[in-house]
Amino acid sequence: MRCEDLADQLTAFLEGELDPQLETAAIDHIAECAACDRVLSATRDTARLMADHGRPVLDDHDRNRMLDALLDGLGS
Amino acid sequence: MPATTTFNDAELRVVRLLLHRLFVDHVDAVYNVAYRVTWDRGDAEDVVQSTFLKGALRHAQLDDGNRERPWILQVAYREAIAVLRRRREVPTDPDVMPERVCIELAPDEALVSAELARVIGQALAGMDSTERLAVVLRDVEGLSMRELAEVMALGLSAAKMRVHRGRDSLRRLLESEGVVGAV
Repeated sequence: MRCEDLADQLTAFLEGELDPQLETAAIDHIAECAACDRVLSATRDTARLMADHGRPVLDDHDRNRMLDALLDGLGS
Repeated sequence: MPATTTFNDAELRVVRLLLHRLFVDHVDAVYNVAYRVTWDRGDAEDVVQSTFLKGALRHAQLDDGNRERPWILQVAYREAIAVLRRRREVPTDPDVMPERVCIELAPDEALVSAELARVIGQALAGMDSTERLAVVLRDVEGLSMRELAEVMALGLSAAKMRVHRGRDSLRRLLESEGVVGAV
């Protein structure tokens, strides 16, 4: 597998969607290619950062205010 | 948003309970989608309102409760796109709407978290809009590729391509900020 092949298949690799033969080829390539290993690590780190910090912050005051407005709009 | 249906007292109680439950379960995810599409907190809150009202009124159409999250996010996405169409503006600079700090964190953690949120927000603002939303739905909201495709009204292959390109774009942006990929 070449670097550009792994780049094209990176999402499928991370999602566990490659067939076993391709997955093995990807793993072998990453073991031998420092650049692709860095890209893989950085992509995983990016996904982790998104999971931890990717939401705009809503505090309880915001939530309560929006919920009150919703319920008021619906009527009593 | 005025209700288009009138309810008797019993029906209104049921709808209020459903609305409350939907809100508690999904508000953070709905607001995330709304804000990442509109880039305006006021518009995002309007989208939250219309999304949950429509969600409560249309909930009977949902035939699989396990699909409630992608279903409500699809409503949110459509409502947000409708806001953009009415506004006909490009996304605004997120720097003018600073992300708020989570007050439950210790001071040092809060600073780091706020800075990361700011850098990520800026990076997201620099992305293609559909690639941005694809990454948000997959990596923040945890939707499957199939659910993501449904929310965004894309074929599965197109959805996977958006995630692939979005992750690559975001990685490069965060690398340029020194947040990931340090050697």
